[in-house]
Amino acid sequence: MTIFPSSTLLVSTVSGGIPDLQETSEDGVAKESGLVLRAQAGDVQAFEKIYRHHAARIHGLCLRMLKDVSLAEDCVQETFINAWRHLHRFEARASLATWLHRIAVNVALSRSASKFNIEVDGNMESIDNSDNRDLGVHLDMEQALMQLPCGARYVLVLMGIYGHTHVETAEMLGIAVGTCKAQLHRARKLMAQHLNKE
Amino acid sequence: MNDNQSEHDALFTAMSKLSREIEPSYDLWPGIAGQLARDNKTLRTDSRFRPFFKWLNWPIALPLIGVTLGILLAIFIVRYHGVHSGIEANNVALSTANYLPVSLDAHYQAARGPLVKTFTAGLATLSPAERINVEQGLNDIQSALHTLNEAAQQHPDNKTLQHLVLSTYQRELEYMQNIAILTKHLPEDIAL
Repeated sequence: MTIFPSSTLLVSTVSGGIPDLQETSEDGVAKESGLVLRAQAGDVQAFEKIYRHHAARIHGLCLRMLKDVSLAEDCVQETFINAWRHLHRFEARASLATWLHRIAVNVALSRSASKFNIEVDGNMESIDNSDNRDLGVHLDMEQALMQLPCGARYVLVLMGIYGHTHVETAEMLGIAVGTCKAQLHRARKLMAQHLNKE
Repeated sequence: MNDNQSEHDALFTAMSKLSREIEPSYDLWPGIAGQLARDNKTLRTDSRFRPFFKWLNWPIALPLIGVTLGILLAIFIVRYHGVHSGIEANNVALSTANYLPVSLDAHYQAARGPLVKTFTAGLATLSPAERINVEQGLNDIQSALHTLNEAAQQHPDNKTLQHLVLSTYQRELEYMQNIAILTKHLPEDIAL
């Protein structure tokens, strides 16, 4: 099963050099707070800068949740439109990245409810045969991830890739923490099975 | 650690190495900007909000706004005192982000300008008694800002204090936006 267009995945796994917001420097955080304030005052250019900084990460999350390129792109647009509409509710002390993730997960969940189990054709054979061992491992991981059932995949994506805690993940997905732990356990088991097969 | 746990940890480590960022295949911003522009236009002209405002009773609403602001100010003061008394301890644990120059920079002032203009225009439509109430509310926030700014300047390393300053700036914006909406004088010169 192939999910990501080869070019998209190749770019994402090879580059991946954009600074992590969780690890952003103090200056970066201060700068982002300034941008948020300006956007809250109605400055669309400041909001565009916020979009430029977060778009790829939100797109990565949506793509992994929805398994469909065009749905994921719609999801990104809707996420930022919703963020703009509700920006006045964003508290300065909260993390903007986490707040955007919450919105994106809500949008993705509503979209995945209407469209289920989508597979998109792509061509990854050329990448699979690559000499780059890390890239091959990444592709195996991504493919195994995409074979997981929705609930398990959502939890593993949010926790394993984006580093959210059980509590944050459960809150975003609207499930109990116990359910989140059970889904993670299931996801780990299935991932191990899929990876061992490959 | 048994084999099972070891395998799980290895899996999690491998997952964390996957790229968090995947660039969209094309620039999605123009679509977003278009929708924001339509939203802004709709907000200015749409009558969706009118039924709500029609039922809004100004003599009741304004005291409520005043009480809310009073509570907010009280919270700020209590928090400030709490922070102030624990500043020495906090200085050890907290990092040194400095938000003040950012929140007060020219870009922020420029972004705030149109809002102040529409707020002032909205204010002019109110009766003298209502205007005094609204101005009092804004004075309360600005006085809190002044106090917090002074404290933040004295303790530039205190992150909690800086968060409070930012929150208070947000409250000020929110307050002006609410008054602008309630008086139906929405920003018209926000560049989209």
